[in-house]
Amino acid sequence: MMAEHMTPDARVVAMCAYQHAIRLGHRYLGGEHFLLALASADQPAGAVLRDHGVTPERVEEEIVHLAGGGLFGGLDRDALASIGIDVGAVRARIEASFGPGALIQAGQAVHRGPRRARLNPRRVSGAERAGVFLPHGPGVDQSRRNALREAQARHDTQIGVDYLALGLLAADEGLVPGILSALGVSVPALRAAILSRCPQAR
Amino acid sequence: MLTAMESALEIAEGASSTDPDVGLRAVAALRALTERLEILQVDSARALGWSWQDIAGRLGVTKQTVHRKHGQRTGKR
Repeated sequence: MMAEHMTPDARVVAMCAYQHAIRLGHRYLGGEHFLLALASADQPAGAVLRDHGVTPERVEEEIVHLAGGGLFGGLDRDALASIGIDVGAVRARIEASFGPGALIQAGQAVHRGPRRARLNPRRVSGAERAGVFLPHGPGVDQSRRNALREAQARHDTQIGVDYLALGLLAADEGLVPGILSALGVSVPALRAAILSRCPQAR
Repeated sequence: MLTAMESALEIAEGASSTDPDVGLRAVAALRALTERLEILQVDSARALGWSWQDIAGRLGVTKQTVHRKHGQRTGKR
């Protein structure tokens, strides 16, 4: 996302998306990380998502299901296999005794940074500079173009959080459409709710 | 599932590989896996009401070490 075209709140969401990708051990930034960041955001669009069942827990569960990650994400499986450890077998045993919920919870604790930092755009942008560059996965650039179009249609010069959400919902590439359909969410209904409840997108 | 003997042999092969690239990667990956499992088990033990003292004893570290590492996440209590 082009940071210079985003409002400070939208930049915080983008930074959280980046942190989610890192935390899950993914080597790309995808629309699904933006969806996770939006679902966790203390913003009107985040509240709309949660009200429609798009909660951070459920989104993360779907992401881990579709793309891997979580407690066992980002591990060097080949290196572990070279010393006789099958990560798939370890995961299956842990999941059988603790259940998928505990895995997600513990997965969230892995790589967790200081919690306050993500609310402060000045500090998180520093983290972005110091961090690793992640290539954009499918859906991210498409979502950005959609978000920009939503903003331009309302003669806004900046992409706010609501436009990010609308742009993400309109994307047909990447994992987001699959995640939303797995959660049983109607995209048109979600879009309508964001349009009616979010001040910027009206 | 590998038997203990087979598994021990493979560990000897990988972790003591003469190729440092293979051996060091295996050690680093094992450390990462251990960290993940520690988080899961410590959180579980705390949820079951275990004291930091008991958790530290099982992990073979001091109470201060385990508390400093996990205390903020699972709550002081």
